[in-house]
Amino acid sequence: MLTRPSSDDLRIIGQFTGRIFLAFAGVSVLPLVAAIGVGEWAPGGSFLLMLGVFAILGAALTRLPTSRPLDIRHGVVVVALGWLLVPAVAAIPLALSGHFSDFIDVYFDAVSGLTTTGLSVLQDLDHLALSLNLWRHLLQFLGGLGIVVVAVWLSVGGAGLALSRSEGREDKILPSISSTSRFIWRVSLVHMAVGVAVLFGVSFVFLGFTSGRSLFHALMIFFAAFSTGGFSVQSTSLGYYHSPILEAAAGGIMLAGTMSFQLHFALWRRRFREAVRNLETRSFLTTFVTLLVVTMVGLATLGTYHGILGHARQGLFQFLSAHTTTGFSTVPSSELAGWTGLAFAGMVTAMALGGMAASTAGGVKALRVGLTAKVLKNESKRVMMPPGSVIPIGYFQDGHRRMTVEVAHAAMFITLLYLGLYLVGTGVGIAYGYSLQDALFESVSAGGTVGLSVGITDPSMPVVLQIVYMCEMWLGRLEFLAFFALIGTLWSAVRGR
Amino acid sequence: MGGIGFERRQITAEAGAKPRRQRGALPTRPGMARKNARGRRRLPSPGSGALVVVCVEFALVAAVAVLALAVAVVVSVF
Amino acid sequence: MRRAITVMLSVAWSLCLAAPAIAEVAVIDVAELLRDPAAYAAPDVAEVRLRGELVGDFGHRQDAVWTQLNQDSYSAAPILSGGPLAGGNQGIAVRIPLAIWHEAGPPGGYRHRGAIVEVAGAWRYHDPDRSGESYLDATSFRILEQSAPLHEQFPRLRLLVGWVLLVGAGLIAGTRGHRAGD
Repeated sequence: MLTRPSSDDLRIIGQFTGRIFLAFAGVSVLPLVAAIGVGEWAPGGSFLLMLGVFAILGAALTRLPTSRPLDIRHGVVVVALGWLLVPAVAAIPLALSGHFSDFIDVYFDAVSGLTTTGLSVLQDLDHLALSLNLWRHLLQFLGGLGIVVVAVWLSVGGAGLALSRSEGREDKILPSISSTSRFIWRVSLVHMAVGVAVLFGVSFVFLGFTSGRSLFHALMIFFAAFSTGGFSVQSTSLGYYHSPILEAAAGGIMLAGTMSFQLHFALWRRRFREAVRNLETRSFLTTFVTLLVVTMVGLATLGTYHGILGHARQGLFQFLSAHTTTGFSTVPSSELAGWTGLAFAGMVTAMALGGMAASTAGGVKALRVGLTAKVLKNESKRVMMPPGSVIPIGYFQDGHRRMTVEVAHAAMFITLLYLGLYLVGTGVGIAYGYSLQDALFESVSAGGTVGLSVGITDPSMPVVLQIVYMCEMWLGRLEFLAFFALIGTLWSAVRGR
Repeated sequence: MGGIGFERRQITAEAGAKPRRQRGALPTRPGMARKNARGRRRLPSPGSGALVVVCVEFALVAAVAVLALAVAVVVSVF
Repeated sequence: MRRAITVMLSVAWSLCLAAPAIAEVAVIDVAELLRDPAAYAAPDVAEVRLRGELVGDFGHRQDAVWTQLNQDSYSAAPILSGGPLAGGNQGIAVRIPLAIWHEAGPPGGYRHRGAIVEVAGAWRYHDPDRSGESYLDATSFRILEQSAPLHEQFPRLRLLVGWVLLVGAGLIAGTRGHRAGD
C-alpha cells in the first residue's frame, strides 16, 4: 500500500530545497560582482534580479517548520527538485540577455550547464557579456561538484549523507560527508590554482593574449574542463586557441575531473598500488586504450587528416573529450559528423561509458562497466563448470570487496537504464528525420552529459527533441534514482493513503 | 576534523538525552578518543600529495599522447 | 582560314585582357567555406577572399596575429545594438602575418562590434604543418570599417525588482529570527 507523504514530509523537502536556493543566492554574488567590476550594467541588473529570486524563494522555503530530520527518501526528492528548479531561476540572466529565442532555449542551456553537459543553443556567443559567460561556466563548475557538496558545505550537517547517496556518490571517502565534501572542495581548489596558473601562462606567453583576457580564458577553461562541462567562451570551442600546449593543459584538467575523488584521495596519500588495483581505474584505462585505438584506426581508414601529427592530435583530443564526457572540440560539428565507421563507433562508445563514479563525469561510469564485465566473465565461466557450483567474485575498490547479487544487479540495472535512455533519444531523433548515426551521437552526448555535437543541437532544433535531450541530461546526471524517487513521491501523493 | 562533528550530531539524535557514558559508540575512558581516531582516515592537507596528483594527471596526458602518436604511426605504415 | 585565325587571335586577346579579372579572387561566404572546406583548400585553390568581423582576441604570436573572423548577421548588427537572432556564429581562424597587420581597434565582443575587414589568403585545411588545424593564412588584409562601441541600457527595472526581492527575503528571514527568538 502506498503511503501518502505527510505534510511534514513535504515541508522538509521544501525546507531543504530552500537551502539549495539560498546556497545559489550566495553564489550569484560572484557574477554580480564581476558584472559590476567590468561595468556590464545590464547583466549586473539581471544577476541582482536572480539573486533576489533565489533569496526570497530560499528564505520562504527554509521558513517551513519541520520536526523530523531529512532521510534518504527526502534527500533524493530534494536533489531531483533542485536540479529541475535551480536551472529555472539560474536562467533569468540568460533569458534577459536577449541571446535566446524563447524560455525553452534558455532553460535548455541552464540545464546543460548544471548537468555539466555543454550542449548549447545560445545565439551569438562571440558577443556574449563576460559576466554571463562566467555565470554559465560557474553553473558547470557547481553542477560538477554537485549541489550536494554546496549544500553540505553550507552546513546542512547530518542530512548531507542522504543528499549525497541520492546523487550517486555512495562512497564516503572520509568518515563523514562533511569532511568528504571539504576534501572534494580542497581537491578542486588545488586543481583550480594549478590549472588556472598553467592556462594563464599558456594564454599569455604562447597565445599572446592580454593579461586580463588570459586570466578570463584560463578561469573559464578550468571551470568547464574540471567539471567535464564543455562550455566555451567562443563559438569555435577549444579550436579557437589553435594551440596544442593549451589542449594538453586542458586535457590534464579534463582527466582530473573524470577521475573519482577516491582515486584523488589514494594519490594524495601516495597509495599508488591501491590506485592501480582499483577496479574502476583498470576498467577506465582498458576502455580508454581500446576505444582510442578503435577511433584512431577508424580515422586512418577515413583519411581525414594528412600526416601523423594531425591524425594523432585531432583524434586524441576529440576522443579525450568524449571519454571524459567534457565536450570540448577543436573541430567544427560538421567535421565531427563526418567521422563515420570505426571512428564513430569509438567516439560514441566512449561517450556512452563516460568517466569514473564519484567524479564530475557522466555516462555509465567505469565502475559499473568493470562490475558488469566481471559478472559476464563469471557467467561464461559458470557455463563450463558443473551445475550448482558457486564461483565467488571479488574485486578491489578502495579495499577488497565481494560482489554480491545486489551489487551485480544494481550495476547491470543502471547500465541497462543508460542504454535505454540513449536509445529513446535516438528514436526521437530518427523520428524527426535525422540519420541513425547523427541521432545516436547526439542522444548519447546528451544522456552521457558530454556535449559534443554533430549539429543537431541548434537554436532551430525541434522543441520536443530539445525537451527529450533535457530529460536525458537530467536523468544521466542524477543516475535515475532521484527521478524514480520523485515520480514515486508524486504518485504516492496522488494515489497513496 | 570534520568527521567528528557529524558523528556526534548523529549519535546525539539517535541516543536522545542519555548520559554520555551510556552511549556505547563513544569512548568511555580518557585517551580512547585518540586511540580510536588513529585508525580513522583524516582529511589530507594540501602539500606534496597535491603535486603528486597533478603530476600523475599530466603524466597520463603525456602517456595517452604517446599512445595516440604510436597508433597513428602504426596505422600510417599499414 | 584567315577569318578563323582572326577569330582565334581575337579570342586569345580578349582572354589576355580578361586575365586580371580571372586572377582577382572572388569573395566567398564563411558559411560557404565551412559547408565544403575541402573544396577551397590550398594548394588546389590558390587564394580565397573573405569579409567579416574580427572577434574574440588578437593573439600576438611570434610572427603573426591569430584571431577569429566571423561572417554572420551579428557582424552587421549584434544583439546588443538591436540586431535580430539568427542562429549560431559562423567563424574561422585567421593568421595574419605581422608584416601586413594593422591595428584594428578592440576585437568584437560584448562592448564592441569588431572591425569589419577583408582578408585574402590560403585556406589551410587540416594543415599537416600545424597538426591538422584549419585556418586562413592571410596574404592581404584590409580594414573596411573600424570597430564600433556598443551601448547597453541601464537596467533600472531589474535593479529595482532585485532590490525589492532582496528586502523581501531579508524581511522573511527576519521574521523567522523573531519567531525563533520567541
